[in-house]
Amino acid sequence: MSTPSRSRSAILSGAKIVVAQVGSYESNMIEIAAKAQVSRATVYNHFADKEEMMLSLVESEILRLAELAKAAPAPSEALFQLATEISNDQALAMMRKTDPQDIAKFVTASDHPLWKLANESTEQIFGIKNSGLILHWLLAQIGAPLSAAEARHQADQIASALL
Amino acid sequence: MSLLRTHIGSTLRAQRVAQGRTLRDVAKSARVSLGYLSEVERGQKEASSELLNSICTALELQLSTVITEVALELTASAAPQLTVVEDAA
Repeated sequence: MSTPSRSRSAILSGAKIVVAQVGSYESNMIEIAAKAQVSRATVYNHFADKEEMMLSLVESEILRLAELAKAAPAPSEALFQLATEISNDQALAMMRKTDPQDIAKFVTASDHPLWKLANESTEQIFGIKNSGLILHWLLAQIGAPLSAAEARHQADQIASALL
Repeated sequence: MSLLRTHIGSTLRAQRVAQGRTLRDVAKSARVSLGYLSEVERGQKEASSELLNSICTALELQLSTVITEVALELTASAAPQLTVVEDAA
């Protein structure tokens, strides 16, 4: 049997795959349960509803990206890896087509706890002085992704300018 | 420290002027009001990345490219100050 936290992360992985296929609005708990290979009851044990699940997915993505950036050997590499992850993300790519309002919500500053988490993670990794600019740079790519070459070039430029 | 939005605004304004385009023209294709665009350019309004993205699209630019330019500008303007501080110390 899988542990609770393992099934939780399986559900979130399943949710991300489903969002990449149909977007967030069209996705549903039944499909996500099937993709995660857990029962619907298990899904509802972890998440009260789809909204709670989607917020948890965003949270786990922020934490995943923060870990990735922390493990990078150099700031320019951290920036490049973050840019690559965001610009190539299939779930975000689908949502740009199907859920533009959700995308707009992601990139708009608010006092939502997830916004604070993103902000604090950026501060921790790149320092308070530079975090505003770097967070804006990354968020810009949620709406308008960069090619690998652009991401490399801009990551190097920002790192040499600020870090 | 100067605000990020001031730098983004002035970069957008410089780009618009370099393209020989009017506030009215860019505001229309970005689907924002003329007054709003003007405030963003002067750094008086904190625009969301979504609106900044549509202004950039209207200018045929990428927002992340604009922000990278701002980063380069910030260092260019900060460097002389650093020298002064070191001299004084």
